[in-house]
Amino acid sequence: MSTKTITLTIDSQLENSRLVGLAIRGLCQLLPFDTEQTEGTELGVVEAVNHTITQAYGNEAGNELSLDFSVDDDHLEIQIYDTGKALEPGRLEADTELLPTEDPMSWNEADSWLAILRQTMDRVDYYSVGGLNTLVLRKRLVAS
Amino acid sequence: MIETHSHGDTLVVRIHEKRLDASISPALKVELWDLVAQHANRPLILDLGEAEFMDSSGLGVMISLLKLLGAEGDLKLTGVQGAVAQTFKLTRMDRVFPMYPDVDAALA
Repeated sequence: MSTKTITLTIDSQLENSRLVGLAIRGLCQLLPFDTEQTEGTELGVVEAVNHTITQAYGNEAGNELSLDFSVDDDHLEIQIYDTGKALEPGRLEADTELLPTEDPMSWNEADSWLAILRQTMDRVDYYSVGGLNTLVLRKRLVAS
Repeated sequence: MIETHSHGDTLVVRIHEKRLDASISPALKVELWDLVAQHANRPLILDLGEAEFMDSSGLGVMISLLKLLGAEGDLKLTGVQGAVAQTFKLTRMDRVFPMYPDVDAALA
């Protein structure tokens, strides 16, 4: 099994999430993903980067955010590293509804990122060790 | 960022952006809210035909517009396709917004 990794480093500015989105779209087009899987992966990664910039770094420029895109025979794995405010414990496991069924208009943009990640990725993990936060997104390469 | 024209009483707004993302959403929201303030009570068609991508911040702009118009408002979306359509579908907001393939269909 061989693993290939591309690393992308950006400053913590929201306009840079556009660059990340276009990069992951290009990468996915080289993988055995159909259009919907490519679009979903791009959306999930952009949501994760936006959340890191706005929540971990408080939407302040001048902080570094790195992404490793790794591909092996079975998976695409995206690791997003930051040194900002860590996600509160248990947040990833929280039961986040995509859309409140009783009142659709109470949908909360700030909470949507995690729900979108769950919809677009096969697995989402998060670690915070020694001030380094890592969000790990995994997606199977097997065509659905 | 936006271009407007009228069809009778209906105001048609075309968004000239390929990516409705967090880098432009705050400015887009201001433009659309200003437009609604200038054209109160007119039916509104928002043409997203140029958009190839939309994240939750872009979707948030659409939802804020729907809330601003209120229950009596008349907002239709046109040209929703590809990754933009997928964002609506993933968040189930495709059930909330009336969508039409193009402006002519929305006007019919």
